[in-house]
Amino acid sequence: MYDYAYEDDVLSVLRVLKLLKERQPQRFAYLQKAYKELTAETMEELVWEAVWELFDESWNDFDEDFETEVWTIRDASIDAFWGNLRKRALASGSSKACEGLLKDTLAYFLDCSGNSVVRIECHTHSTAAQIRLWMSPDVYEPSTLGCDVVAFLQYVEAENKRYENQTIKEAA
Amino acid sequence: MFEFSPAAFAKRLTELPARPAPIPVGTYSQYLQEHVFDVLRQGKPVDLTALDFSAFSFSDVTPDYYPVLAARNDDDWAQGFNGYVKRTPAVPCGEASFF
Repeated sequence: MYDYAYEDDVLSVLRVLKLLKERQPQRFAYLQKAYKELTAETMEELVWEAVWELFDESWNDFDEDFETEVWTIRDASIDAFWGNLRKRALASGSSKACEGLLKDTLAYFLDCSGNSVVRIECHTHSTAAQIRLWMSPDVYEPSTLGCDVVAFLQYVEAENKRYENQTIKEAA
Repeated sequence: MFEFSPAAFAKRLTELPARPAPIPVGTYSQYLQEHVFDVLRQGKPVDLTALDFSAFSFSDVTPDYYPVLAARNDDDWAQGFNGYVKRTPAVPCGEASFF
């Protein structure tokens, strides 16, 4: 579309940064100052850092058994999504299904590219969900992962809004 | 003995999260052409502090491959679901579960 060799990577970076500006404006401002410029050389590093800044909390550690990086994420919109899933499941009598639904939703989006995330764990209690993502030791595709995370967060936020509107409608 | 209740099944479907909408095909942005791609093509860096992120939409920053990948992912999940349904026996389970 733009007649540039790394067009898709550039668009992915801008996609992630645009969502970061909406969700976490202070962190966006920090990355803007830290990187200052977008170049072909810094793009991958920038998008990798921006992806994890999209969540309210994120931290990484190393799994010695799988020899790979593991990211733990927590976010208010994921907590709200989990809360809504749980309410629906309890109301319909299928409380076991909601954890599976949360994991399936994560797998649907974060496994879209099929390469970067190799394992997903959800640790939940009544009001919050903590997600653990095992990254592939062989594949490093931050641009595609960035698009997957943006799609996931946009879906979760749209679902939260839909559930809120539905609840208001039912209460009226 | 439990009977299949179409009303209960339909109600259960409405309680599930909505199916993700397809990712729309990307659109062209003159702003990105001038302020990003023309700059990069000249071998110069793009000034992130000067870039106006409100001047383009998410549709303008959709990589060409991504809607295709997302649609294929959706098809793969639908095929996986069909695979589960085919293996489900046509007998009452006695509890609220699909598989």
